[in-house]
Amino acid sequence: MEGAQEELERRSKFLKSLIQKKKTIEQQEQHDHLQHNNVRVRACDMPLPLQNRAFRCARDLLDSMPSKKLDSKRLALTLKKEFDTSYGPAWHCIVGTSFGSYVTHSFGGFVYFSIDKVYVLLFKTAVEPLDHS
Amino acid sequence: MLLRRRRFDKTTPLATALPQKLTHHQSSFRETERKMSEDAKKNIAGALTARPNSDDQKPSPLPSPAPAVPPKKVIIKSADMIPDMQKEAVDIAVAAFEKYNVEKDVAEQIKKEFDKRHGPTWHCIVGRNFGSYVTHETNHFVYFYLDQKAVLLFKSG
Repeated sequence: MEGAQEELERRSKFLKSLIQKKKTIEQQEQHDHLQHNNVRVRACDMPLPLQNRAFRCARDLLDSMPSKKLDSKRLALTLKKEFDTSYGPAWHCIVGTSFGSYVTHSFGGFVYFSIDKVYVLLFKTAVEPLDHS
Repeated sequence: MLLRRRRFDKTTPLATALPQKLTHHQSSFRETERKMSEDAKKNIAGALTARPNSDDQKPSPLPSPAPAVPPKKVIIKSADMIPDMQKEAVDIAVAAFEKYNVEKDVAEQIKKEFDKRHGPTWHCIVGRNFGSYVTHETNHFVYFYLDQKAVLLFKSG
């Protein structure tokens, strides 16, 4: 019995160690990714894959804009449409260099980040079905 | 309820006429000036007397000792909202700007007030420079300027 207990403890520690290593690696990769794209997360309640999607989408669009002038509306539109299509309605997007906000969002549907010198607020709200009465 | 998409971007506000209060104030000033002139004409020898009269009368035309602060310029850029609710949004925003300096606090005040009065869920954005693309409930969207600050208020969810 003592031998079995020790074996279980050893395996448990090993698994915990593996999990921790994986988390560390993932965090490092995410950090490198953000640094590379000049992205900084200010506030967040969103799964990592969705975050990365938003960052990549914003990065690609900003890089594709020939003029140096920021097209806030176009970036807001692009992000909102992509998220509505991929993760269901309704998403809302605010893009700019100077604004404050106060919103209510769905669980797991909120990210506020800066990329280059622009700030992006992307959040989701629940959609009520059409009232047929 | 039916959800509709609404988009907009910040643009330079158009020039507008001076607030009526300011015009009224100027008019009042002219009347006072004319009165002083008449007093002077009537009694040159009593110039000293004329001055106290002028001082006494000066406060009367004004509603308060100090001239009223000119109201903020309000420009409704886009709206899908009944007029009464629009006015309510503007009034609440004006009060919030007087009370708070931080845009986030102004947005919070407006959103919470509308959640309370018209039921959840409202969202508010306040700032000098931003573009947006949102989905809102029918008849529950307004975007306006108070001087140089834009306010976006809409209901969704």
